[in-house]
Amino acid sequence: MSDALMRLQVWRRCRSGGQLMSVEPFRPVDRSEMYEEIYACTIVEGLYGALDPEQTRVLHAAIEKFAWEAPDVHEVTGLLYFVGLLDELIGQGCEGQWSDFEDRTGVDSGDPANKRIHGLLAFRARLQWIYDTFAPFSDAIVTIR
Amino acid sequence: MCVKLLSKRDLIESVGYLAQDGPLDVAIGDDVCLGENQWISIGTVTIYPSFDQDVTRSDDLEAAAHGGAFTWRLPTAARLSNDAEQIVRCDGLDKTKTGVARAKLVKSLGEGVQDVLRRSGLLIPVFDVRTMACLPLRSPITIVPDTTSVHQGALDFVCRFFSRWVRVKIPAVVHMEVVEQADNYLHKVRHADSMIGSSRGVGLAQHVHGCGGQATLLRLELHSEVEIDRGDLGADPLRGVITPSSDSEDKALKLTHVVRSFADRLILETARRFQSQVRRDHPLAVLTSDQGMARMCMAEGLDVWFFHARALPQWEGQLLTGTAYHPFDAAVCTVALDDALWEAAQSFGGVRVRNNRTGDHVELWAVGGGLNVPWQPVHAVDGLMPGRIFFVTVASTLMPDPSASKDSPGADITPGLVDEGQAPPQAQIELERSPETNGGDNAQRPGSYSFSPEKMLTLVDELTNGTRELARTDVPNILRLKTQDEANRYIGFLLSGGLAAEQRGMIGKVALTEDLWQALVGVDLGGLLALLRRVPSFEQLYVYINSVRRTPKDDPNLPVSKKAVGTYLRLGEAAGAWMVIPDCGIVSTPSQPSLEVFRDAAIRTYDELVGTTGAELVLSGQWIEQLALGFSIHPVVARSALNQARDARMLSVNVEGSTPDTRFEAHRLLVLESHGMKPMFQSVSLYQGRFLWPGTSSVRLKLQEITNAS
Repeated sequence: MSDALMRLQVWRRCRSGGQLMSVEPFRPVDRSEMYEEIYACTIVEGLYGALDPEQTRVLHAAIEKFAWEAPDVHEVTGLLYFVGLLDELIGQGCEGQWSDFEDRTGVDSGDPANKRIHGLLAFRARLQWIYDTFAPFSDAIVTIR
Repeated sequence: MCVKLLSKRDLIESVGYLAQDGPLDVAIGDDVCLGENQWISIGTVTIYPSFDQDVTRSDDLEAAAHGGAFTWRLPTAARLSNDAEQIVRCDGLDKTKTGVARAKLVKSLGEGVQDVLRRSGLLIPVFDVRTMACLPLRSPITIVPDTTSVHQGALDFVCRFFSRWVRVKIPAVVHMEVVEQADNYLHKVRHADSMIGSSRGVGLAQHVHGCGGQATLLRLELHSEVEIDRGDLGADPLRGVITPSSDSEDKALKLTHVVRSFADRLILETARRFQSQVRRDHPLAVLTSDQGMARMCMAEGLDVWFFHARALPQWEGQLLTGTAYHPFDAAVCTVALDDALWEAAQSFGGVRVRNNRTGDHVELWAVGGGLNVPWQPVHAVDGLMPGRIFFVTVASTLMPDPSASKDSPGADITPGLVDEGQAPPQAQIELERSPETNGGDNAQRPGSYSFSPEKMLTLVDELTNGTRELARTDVPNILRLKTQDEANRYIGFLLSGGLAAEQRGMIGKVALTEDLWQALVGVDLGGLLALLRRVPSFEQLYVYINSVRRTPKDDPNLPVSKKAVGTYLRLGEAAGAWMVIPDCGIVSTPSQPSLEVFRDAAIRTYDELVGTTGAELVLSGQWIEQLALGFSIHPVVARSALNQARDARMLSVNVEGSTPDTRFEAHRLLVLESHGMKPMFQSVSLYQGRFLWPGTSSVRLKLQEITNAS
């Protein structure tokens, strides 16, 4: 499978001590503007594997709302909208949304195992887990790139 | 009624078989707390195999279920509650007590289902943000779990995703709490008649916590890679206080009963004592979902990995899947359906997987079920559990016909017992799966198999020249495979063609195995092809390719599964049945021409290439491929015939040029060779001269017919 990698990160306001200074121009940085990463995961396989072009466009648009440069506030609560969107895409019919991938876990030599993944369902489960974990924290934000 | 000790392998084979007729209902049973023959559904499982043919095959379903390609639709809270209330016995209880009893049972049931799903990995626990900020681990840490983390799947989570970095120190009091819960449940088993009202809910919780907890601790000890640390004997502070004492003050404290808060204290003290035994900068954390415990640890300077108790994540009515994105790495992780079902059976006592359309089902019973198979340590070590497989109906078109010859494809499960007095097909037939009937002599198996041809050589060598028969479980070690599933593909291929035999679970050689070895050692391609064609799936592919003569590699009509195509094409190429040419596809090469016919074909092909390129010297690889495309002559046959024709002075061959054209690097052929009685497959480049003339690097040739041979 050749899906592009997608990196999902959760950030919170910087809590480490000590003052910070920017490199150029030299000046102290307002710590309240700094965020530190507290969680990251990478989505690798099969997310778009079985989507039609329109569904792919819808999913891309949702992901881009969490891009670094997107104007929206990337609150964790926004993931609930994303989860709802994925539920719509998954719908009732799971049959055609599975795609193959090679599982190389623990394979030092020999053939990797051929397995299948429902990318949307797996992604939905991960987003729900991230939401459950970070939603209570008002200063947490999510980015996807 | 016949009871067998089933392995996970047996279970997943049955599941694959049952799933041929559609989704499966998963239900749990507990003879004591839920009542005999009472089942509560905990969801519907649908398996999604990679179909390559019109017919759904049980081995595809089996592989998909084991590989996590399934969905599990959990029941809603209302449905679970309704089902539970239907079976609560509340004879003689007033309305209030009845309500309490039902509520307790529903609560225990819900908590038990969640715990099973988290321990098996279908759900993962939600951790504190502070804990999440420490993950993934980059240095070793010691984790001291409390009892809640054993029950609720946090310990499994840590061991599953961080086994390389984590050392686990399980306090003795955790073992004791778990054993106590199991003992309390078993006491109820012995006094089952008194189980009315709320004691059923309490008993079910004790069952899930006690037996489920024991199973978890055993699994981590016996079947996981995590390092479980043990302190010195006597180092655990528990030892000093739990010993019965005749002192009246000690008796008044009732320390022989493990008080919950006191158990928490003992866990904390175990962690602190362990911390004093390791270097000061070695991190250690207590794993818990107990807020009081977490606060106490933090107040005493211990780090805590805190996760939420069962409130999160939401599970009722959810659609789960067995393939998930790794929560920290760029990878996909899978949960085998057999592992999840196994966990459910160990926790609740019994699990039933049933196809509601046909009524066929398989049951597993860790406790109860009327099976009367006493537990033995070997069950835990070897992963065995009593169970039974029922096929209530034989009417399904996809089920193997019991009356059919055992040589017929699909007859890998053979009927064992038929109840007397009832005639099939309406009769209830219990199919007993036993080594004798499971792939016995000459049993033909359906489906195609994906494996490494190189490793297959090793297996055939071991079968032919080894000193003993092989158990199925020996094969992964011999072939250095990771899973038994992979090994079964090698075995299945040989068994399906009668190239090996299975008796009482042991794989042994037959006359055809030796023939196969001789064909391999002697590089007898004709003999090898004839033996491969005894494998039904290979024969189907051979017939198909010969009928179409040329077809793309991704032809959807190829009669083998997509994942096995590569294996079969390589085998067939090495055996001379066909060759695969990039951009052209699979080309059938059955021709065995006489020297005269070959001479004519060789010259005609050469002339055509000269006409096309305008050069007198043509690429030898191109000439070989054109012979296959135009005259169905396999490259190995062409090589042999070319040398014979030259020796017979029928053809004059001139070669030249030593710079291989890199455009044709992908034009390779798998060739069978034998060195010192050791057969091997070699991938050779057709466009390098040494394929036709070993030891030379001439890549171009010129052919002339010798007409005045004398």
